[in-house]
Amino acid sequence: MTANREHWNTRVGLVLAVAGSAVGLGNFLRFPAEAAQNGGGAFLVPYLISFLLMGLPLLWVEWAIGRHGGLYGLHSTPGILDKLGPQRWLKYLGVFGLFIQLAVAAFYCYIESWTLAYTWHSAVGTFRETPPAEFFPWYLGLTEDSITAFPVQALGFFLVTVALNVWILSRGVAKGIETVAKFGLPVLFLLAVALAVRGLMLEPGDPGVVTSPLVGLDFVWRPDLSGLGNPTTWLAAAGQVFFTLSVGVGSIACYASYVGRNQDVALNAASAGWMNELVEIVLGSAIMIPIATAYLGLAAVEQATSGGDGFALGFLTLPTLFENWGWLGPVAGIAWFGLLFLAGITSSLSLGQPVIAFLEDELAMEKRRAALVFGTAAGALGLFCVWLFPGGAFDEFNFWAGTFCLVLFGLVEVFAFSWIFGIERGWEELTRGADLWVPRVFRFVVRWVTPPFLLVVFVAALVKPAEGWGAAFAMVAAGEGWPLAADSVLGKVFHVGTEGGWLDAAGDPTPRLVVDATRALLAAVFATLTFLVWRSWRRKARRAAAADRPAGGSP
Amino acid sequence: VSAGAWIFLTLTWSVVAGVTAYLFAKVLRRPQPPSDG
Repeated sequence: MTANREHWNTRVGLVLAVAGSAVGLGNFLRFPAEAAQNGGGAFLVPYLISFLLMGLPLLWVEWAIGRHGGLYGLHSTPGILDKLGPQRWLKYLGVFGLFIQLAVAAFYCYIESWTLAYTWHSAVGTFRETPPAEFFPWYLGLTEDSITAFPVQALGFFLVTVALNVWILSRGVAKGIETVAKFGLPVLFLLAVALAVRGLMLEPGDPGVVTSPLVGLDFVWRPDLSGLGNPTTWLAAAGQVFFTLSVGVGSIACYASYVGRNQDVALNAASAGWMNELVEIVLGSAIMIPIATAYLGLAAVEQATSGGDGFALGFLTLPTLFENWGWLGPVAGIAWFGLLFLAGITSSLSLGQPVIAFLEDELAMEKRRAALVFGTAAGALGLFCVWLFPGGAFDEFNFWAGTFCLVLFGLVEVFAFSWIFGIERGWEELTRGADLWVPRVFRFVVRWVTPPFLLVVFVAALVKPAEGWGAAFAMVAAGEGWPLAADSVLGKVFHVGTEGGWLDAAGDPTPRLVVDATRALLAAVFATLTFLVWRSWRRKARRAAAADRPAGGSP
Repeated sequence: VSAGAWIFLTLTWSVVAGVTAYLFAKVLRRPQPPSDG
């Protein structure tokens, strides 16, 4: 094993890097739509409760186990989990982390490349002539009635994005990731503030404006207290908190593994977590929906966000609306997609670093080579998503790696911390060198509240009903069975809502074939990573036996 | 904007901005590298 002695240059850089890992496209596109559809201002009640009882404890858990693993020179999830207890199978649970990081990086870099492309096209004025609603399907290669696509321009931007990630990662933790975070987060913040201020200053009478942007702000924040009694609201809030913080990925644990034995993790974790909340709750709610409402009216925005997702507004509508801003239009487009790109790249870097750390720690790979291997693997998987995007490959990656496994690995981490590592040792690890007083009640919360909270989120994803929880329970009571949603885990497994086989009547491949092929590919990736972990630990054991000393060294 | 929206908005924004500023100020006050190096 090579000695991986990297470290962060500054504490601010580390906090910004972790905050950058959490701040992603969802802060600006998903949060405001979720809030507006789930009780408005009242959504923030379950949201903040979920943050305090699930999000913050999970952040502390990831930071604590990460720093603990770093004491042994281990920076990837298999190594970090392996050091939590004597059980040999712990390292294999860490494979979930590696799998998530690699598979999510593949499709996330594709989304990130869209924001880069849109920044470019905003700058050159493409959207003045071609409406984004026409541009986007062309860009993705969706114009033909086919399950495959070969979008040349999208491929180009995707490869540029992957190459940029590889280059930054190859420069190392401090020179690469930390430098980007120290530049990217403040710039992102400034761009978001500028867009929010400009958007909220729109007035009826300005070119194209039909109503005040404050109507949009009211749409996001008007409290519907009846939503507090609705389990759907609570599950939406818990899900949003979980996914916005980038917990359950293993990236935070990796970043924390480069922190010294007696240096703080409690304050760093809280600071980075709350920074993400600031960007999400304040800036996320003040840009997209108010601007879109000002130009389109409330009814159109309500319809566009009815699925709890603001993706269409962000990519298809806003670029057109910015054209009303005259010379400021292209600048606004660059600012909007530029900030989304910065949000994306700081997140994708946090997905790449743990994989690179695994290659360095366990396969004795040199950093540049490890970065290249990561880029090649993520790029190849990403190309699969690009090619079979119309058939649903991208959605499968997103669902299994980016949703299902995330919650599962979050559960694994918190159980391993509380019940295998032990809450006493865990608490000592979290509070050693802490610059922030952590209330002792969190010992109880981490052990007895966070796991059930996550378990509920997991089970809810497993059996999510087609038409709301209330209606589903009523159907069960009436003996009509449980109406599984097509996007529930079990619904996905059993292909709810899709009929037919791999080939249609004409003998052509169907989306069902793409879905099953993608699942097979993901399973193969998981199996390969498991094999690599098994092989590297076997080598370590042999080396340790030869040297007649315990494997992994000592802190 | 309705009164309810203003109340929730100002309350939440104040709490989130206040806590974030407090914590980040603490980080800035102790700017030592977070690594034993």
